[in-house]
Parts: sequence; structure tokens; C-alpha cells
Amino acid sequence: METSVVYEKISFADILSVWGSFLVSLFISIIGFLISKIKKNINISWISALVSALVILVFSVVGRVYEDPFQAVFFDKIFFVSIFLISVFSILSVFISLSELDYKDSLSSEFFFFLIISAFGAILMTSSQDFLTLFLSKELMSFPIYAMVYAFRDKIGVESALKYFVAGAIFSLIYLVGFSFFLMSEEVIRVAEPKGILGVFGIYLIIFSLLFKGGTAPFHFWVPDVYQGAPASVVSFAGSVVKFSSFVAALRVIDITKIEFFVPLEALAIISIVVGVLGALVQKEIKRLVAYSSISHSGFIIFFLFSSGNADVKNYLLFYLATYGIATAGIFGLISLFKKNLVYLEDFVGLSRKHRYISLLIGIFILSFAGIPMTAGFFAKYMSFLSAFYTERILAVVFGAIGSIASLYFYFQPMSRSFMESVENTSSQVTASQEGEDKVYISPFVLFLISVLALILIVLGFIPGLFFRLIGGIPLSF
Amino acid sequence: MLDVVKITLILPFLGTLVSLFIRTPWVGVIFSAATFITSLIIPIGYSDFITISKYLGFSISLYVDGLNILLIVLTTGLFLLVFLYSLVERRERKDEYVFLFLLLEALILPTFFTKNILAFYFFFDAILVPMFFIIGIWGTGRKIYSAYKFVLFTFFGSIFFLVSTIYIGKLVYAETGRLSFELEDFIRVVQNLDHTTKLILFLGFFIAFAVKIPLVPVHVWLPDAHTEAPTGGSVILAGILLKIGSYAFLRFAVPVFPDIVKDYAFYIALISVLGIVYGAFLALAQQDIKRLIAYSSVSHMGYVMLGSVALVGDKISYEGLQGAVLQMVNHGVATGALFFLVGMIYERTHTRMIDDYSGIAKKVPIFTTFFIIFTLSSIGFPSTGGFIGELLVIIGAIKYDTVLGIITASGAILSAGYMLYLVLRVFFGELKKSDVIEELEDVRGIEVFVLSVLSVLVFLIGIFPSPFMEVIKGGIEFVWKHL
Repeated sequence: METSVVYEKISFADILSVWGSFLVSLFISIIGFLISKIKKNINISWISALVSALVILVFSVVGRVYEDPFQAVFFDKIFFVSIFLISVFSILSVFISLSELDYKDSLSSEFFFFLIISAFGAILMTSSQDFLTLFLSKELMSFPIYAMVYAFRDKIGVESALKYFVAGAIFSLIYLVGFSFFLMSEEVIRVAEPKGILGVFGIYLIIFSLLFKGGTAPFHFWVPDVYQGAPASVVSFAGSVVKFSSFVAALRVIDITKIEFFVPLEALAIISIVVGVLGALVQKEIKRLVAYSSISHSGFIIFFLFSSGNADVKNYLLFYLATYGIATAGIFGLISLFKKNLVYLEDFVGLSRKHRYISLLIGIFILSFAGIPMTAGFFAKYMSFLSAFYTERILAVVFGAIGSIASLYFYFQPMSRSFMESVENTSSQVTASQEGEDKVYISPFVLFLISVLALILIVLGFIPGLFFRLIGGIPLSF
Repeated sequence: MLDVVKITLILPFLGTLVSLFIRTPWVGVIFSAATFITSLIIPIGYSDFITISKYLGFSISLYVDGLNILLIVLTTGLFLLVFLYSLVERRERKDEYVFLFLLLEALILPTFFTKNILAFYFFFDAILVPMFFIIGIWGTGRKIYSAYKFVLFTFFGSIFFLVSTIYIGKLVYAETGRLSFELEDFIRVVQNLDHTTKLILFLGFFIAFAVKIPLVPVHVWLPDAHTEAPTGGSVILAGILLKIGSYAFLRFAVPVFPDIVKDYAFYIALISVLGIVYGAFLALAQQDIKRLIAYSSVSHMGYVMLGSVALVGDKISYEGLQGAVLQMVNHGVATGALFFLVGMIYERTHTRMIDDYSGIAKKVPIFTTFFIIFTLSSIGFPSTGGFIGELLVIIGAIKYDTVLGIITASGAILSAGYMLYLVLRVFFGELKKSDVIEELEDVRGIEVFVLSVLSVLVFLIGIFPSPFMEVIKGGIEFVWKHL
């Protein structure tokens, strides 16, 4: 079945529209990067990055589903949804980075070029047809982010970047070992159903590596450190995009290879939820808190992988990752607006007095993380439980339920501090930074973009069906 | 298309949006008044649905019968009174206050209308958010602690309700090939399950409702939340939120799991009676007026739950159900009013301690009159609503199990004890000499209006119960049909 792909009725225009738009987009960003490097003008760099992201965004809307003549990528619905979301996150990230990072010290022409390259890697990773493309696109996505994490060029940044790099290298190593097992047994590089036991084992390792890349426990140690040390604008991009493409890729691999390994997946899900929730309970910094919550979210996302063959579940996974990505991008975008003044949970005390609107937005994103109704996060949680029930993974759901009770405590911390406490009645150690906050310039345009994200979460929180109508409905097929 | 029920549901949402832009307490008054008026003309027997996502089985099926119509009117009415009172209340950040209360009303109303269990859960859980902020922002004392306690306890119960719901929804999906969370589908699917599965699923439902009602082992959030919440928050919490639990027990848990309810009715009745007696004893020991009334809620909600499970033969006794539904309304009116009263006096004196008051009846005669009216209703004095409700529940309980009935009746004596003792200490005796008491002023204007409306209701139910009984009959038929 896999070998007899029929090349029929694909016009040159089709090939041009897909690979052409990619090439045009890539070309724009490279040329823009080079010119900005020569002319020493960063503006050219971010404008070209923006244009190239817009090109693929337009393509994702007008492009149509068909077979890739080069057999490298699935041009299916998931691919288009991924392009759409990732290009939107990239565009958003360009503006957020511009408002957070300093022109003189942190920002360089490379930054935006890296952003686009990473987005390309992430897009290809969601839809690779063979393990080699998957590996290369994974690396293409990861390497620019390692550099972007170090954008602040400070001590904690280099620690984060190095940790992220080493962790990524280890996961690549696991991937490669799995891939070589698979290759040895099956003698093909295509993602396919393995026949030998060695091939099955290889695919296990590949999936593990993808899940760890998405921030699953027990290999989660890098997540909080990277979130903490990286600029918030970079986390807003990486946190949403890396998780998105890793889990979509894992879903594809599991679905196509028809591997059934519920027990290890269930174990990983439970460990992630427990570690994520317990870790977040004791955090004092907002970035680390969200990082641990992202680990627990990885556990919830694994629920979808239990019944990956179900067409509904694919829709559900996209919904979860999209809404999770929006919330991550939104909350880190807001944190980035305050530069380095909103670090500790204590800094939230009395925030609503000065920045009522921003506190409200933070509340919306956090409620979505917590899966409270009225935000899209509730339906995301509902879908993850439903997906786990399709294959009767009851233990996982019970842990998920307990996890979401405990998680309410830490999710509500920033909100209770910003709305219910005021600076006078607490022993805030960071009153100095409170004064500094007044001087913070908050870009209205970025705030507007983030408000749109919050609005999307609210609308999807009441009318979740809108998402499925927008992505072209049901069912998705690979 | 748009009929009176949908308008009732949409108006508070509209108000929530408007209150974001027009920041005055009048927005709350106008929208809640409009909602109240439309809720008065809702026809009983109405049935329709708003489909939101067919693909996810999420629709708000609207259904009005004798079980919910009184609670709907109680909700809209109490909210109107809360908003009216907020006009004269001294409170900072009033615009946020109006926004959150309108949001709360918008979220509470659908829980009473819907027969879709997912939609019910959606709103049941969403209520936590405005309530968390209401307690946390305008509360007194340990407000943040109480807000967290309220949210964590309620969520602890409701998450397993969600898990049960989704599990049954998945069973419906396996049977029919589409996701549905409608009550009828649930009833059909669940009756084929084995006893153990049913019991586990039932527990998911029951714990959620038990925390909300609250029944005794899981009542510990209630005194803190009620005591520390601002006046309006306490009124809504006691008047309406607690009823969502007992209403949902009759609406969802009994029809979906009739045989489990019958098998375990005795245990549920036992903890209800325990709640009646234990709540009353705790109330006797309180020093804080608000906390005392909060504990009296535990006791009173025990009556509601007892009435809901008092079996006679293989049906729940008619009197018990009548009493339970009526007692929900009575408790909403009387306890809501008592919280209003405590709020009014707290605003004047800034103390709720019983010891700080003595003999204030001479100083505030109107206030005292109202307090005694609602006290009488609360203890079930004849000619007040409380009497009819408690009497019916006790009759049901005696028919079910004589011993339980006798203990329940003795609980009624205890409630007379703690409430009258409270009245005695606060209003009668020597007038206490202190600055705050010296300057104490009587209730006036809108405050009197709010209290008069509620006291008229108390006597209306007490003296002419038959129209209410006629309405409740439809609700009892609903419960009996599914037993």
C-alpha cells in the first residue's frame, strides 16, 4: 500500500503552490536576513520574517489537499492546520519579541531568521512521511530555538540554552537509536507498520524521544530551567510550537505504525501529571509555574495518543494543542510586556490595581490552562478524558482528575494575588520592582493581539464546534 | 425562535457585557429586573433546546417543570434584591461587583433549566469563578483562604462528576454512534450496566452534589465561605448555590440511578439526619452571628436531602418530596433574608460577634421585627413557610423510618433553640453601652423594601401553600416517573 503511490493529475501548478510557496517564503526570509546583515538594519530582518510567515499563512488557507510527489510530507488537513497555527504563532512572536527584546543588546538579524527556520522545521515535523524527514525537521526546529533562548545573553540564559541543547541532543540520540533499530529490521525509512520485534522496539524509542521533546516526564528536568531562563517572548513561541509539532508527530507515528503500547504511555501520562502538578505547587516564579503546568499538560495530551486511530481523536488533539498553544503564547506574551518586572508570584500582588485589563487577560489564559468552563481549556480537558475513555484508560483519567483538582490551587495563585491582595497588607519583597513597573511601556498593538487570543479562548469556550468547522470539519484522514 | 425562556437566559449575559462598558450599579438592577419579569411568565411544561456543538454532544436543552420553576424565580428574584441592596451598600470596586454578580446569575440560570448533563456540569463548574472572586475580593477576615477552600472543595466533588458524565457519554456513543449527554440517553444506557459500575458512577454524581448541598462530612467549606463572603455573596451562596446540589440530585442522580438511590437511601437519609442534628449543635456553639446562620444552613439542607430520599415502598414519599422542594424555596428566602440582615448590621457596626450586641431591639425596632420574622420561618413556626416544609419532611421521614423521623423532629427543636437563643442575646436584655451600638441606625429605604418582599413571601408560603403545592406536583411526577 505504501509503495504504490499513484502520481495522477498533479499539475505543475500544484507542485509549485506547495513547495513553491515554501521556497518563496524561505527565499524572502533568507534575502531579508542577508540584506539586514549587510545594511546592519534589524527592521528589514523582522519585516521579511513577517512577510515570509504571511506567505505560508495565506498558502495554508488557499492550498488544497493532495499527494506529495516527493513522498516526503503528507499534504493533508493536519498539515494545513499546522501551517496555519504555527505561522500565526510565528507572526505573534515577531511582535512580542520586538516589544520585549532590546534593539541594542539582545536583538539581532539572526533572531527573526531563526524564528522562521524553526517554524519551517515545526511545520515539516508535523507531517513527515518518513523517519529521516522527521528527524531532520525536528533538528531544524530545535537548533534555532537553542540560540533564541540565549537572546538575553545573560548568565541564566546560557544555562538554559545549554540545558535545552543537551536535553535535545539526548532525545535526538534516543531517536537515532530507535531509527537505526527500525532501519535494521524493516530496511525502509518510511513511517510504516513494523514487522519485526526490533522494528517495534525502534518505534517505541522514536515515540519516547518525540514525547520527551514535547516535555513529558520523567525527562522533564530541562523544561522549568528553559522556561525560566529564556526570554518570555521565546517561550511564548517555543512553548506552543514545540509541543504542538512533537505531539502531532507522535500521533502520526503511532497511528500509521498501529503500535499498541498503552501501558508505557499510561505510565508516562500519570508520571507527567503527578510531577507537573506537585512541582508547580511549590513554585515561586510564574515562568517555572507555567513550565511545570506544561509538564502536566503533556500528561493530558498523551490521553489522545491512546486512541490515535479514531478520526475524532485527531480533531480533539488539534483542538487541545491549539488552545493550549494559544494560552501559552498569550500568557508569556503578557509576561514579556513587563520585561523583567513580573518574575515572582509576589510581583502579582496588587497588579489589578495598576493593570486591570492585563490581569483580566492573565486570568483568562490561566483559567484555560486549568480547564475551567467558559474557556476553551474546559473542552480540551473534556476531550482528553473522552479520548482516554475510548480505550478504557480509566486509571489515567482518575489521575487526570486528581491532578486537575490539585492544579487549581496553583493556577489560582496569580489571580488571587493580583485581584485580592494589595501591596499594603503583604510583606512584598519586590516593592522596588513595583515602582519600576510604572515605567514599563506596554505596546498597545501587542496587547491588542493578545486580547484577540483571549477572545478566541472565550469564544471557543462557549462554542467549541466553531474550531472544527474552521478546520474543515470531520473526519480528518491521514 | 426567541421566546421567554431564551430571553431569560440571555439577558444576564447581555448585562454582563454591558456592565463592562457602563460602570454603574444600575446596570445590574435593570438587567436583573428584566430577567425577573421574564422569568415570572415562563410557561410550565416548556421544552426546547439550543444546540451548541452537535459534534461534542453539547446542547443546552431547556426544560421547565414543577421541580425547577420555583427555583428559577427564586434565583432571578434574589438577584434583583441583591442588586437593589448594592445600590445602598458601601462597597469599593462596585463596577466589578456588578459584573461578577451578573455573570454569576447568567451562569446559575442555565443549571436550573438544562437537562443536558454536560451543559449542567459546564455551568455548575463555571460558577466557581465569579464566586471565587466575590469571596476573595469583597470578603472579610480570612477571605482568600475561604475562597480557596470553597473552590477546592467544590471542584473536588465536581471533577468526578465530570468523569462519570464523560464515561456515560462515551457509553452512549458506543451504543448510538453519536455523543449525547441528554438525560433520556443517560437513563437508557445506565440501566443496562452492572451494579458495581452503577455504584461507582453514582458516587461521582453524588459526591459533587453532596459537597454543594452540603452533607455532613464535606460541609467544612460552607461556614468559612458563608461567613467571609460579602452580603450579596452569602445571600446567593445560601439562597441559590446550595439548592443546585439538592435540585441536581432530584433532577439527575435519582432518574439516572433509581435503583442505587433506592438501595442506599437509608445511608443517605442517615447522613442527612446527622447533618440536621450536627449542624444544629454546631450552630448552638457559635459566637459569630453569620457563622451561626451558616451552620443552620447545614442543618436545613439536611431536611431537603432527607425529604428527597424518604422512601415509602419503592417510591420516594410524596410528602417528603413536597417538603424537600418547598424547603429549598423556604430556605432560600429565609436564610437569604437572614444574611441580608446580618450584612446590614455588619455594615453599621463592623462586628458580627454576638457578645458585642445586647438589647438592641429598642434601638432598631424594624430591624428586630424582620429578624424575628425570618427566625420564625427558619425554625419552622406555624404560619411561616418553614413550618409547612419541615412538617412535610418530618411526615415523610416518619413514614420511611420512625426512628429517623423522631430524631429529625428533635432537630427541629434544636433549631428553635439556637435561633431563639441568638435573638434573645442580640436583641433583648440590657442595652449594651458601646460606641457602635450608640450610633446604630435602623434599616431604611431600599433595605426595608428588600426585607419586606422576602417577609411577604415567608407568610405567603406559610398561609397559602396550595398554589405552590400545585406547582411542585409536576416536579414530583417527574421524579416518580423515573423511579
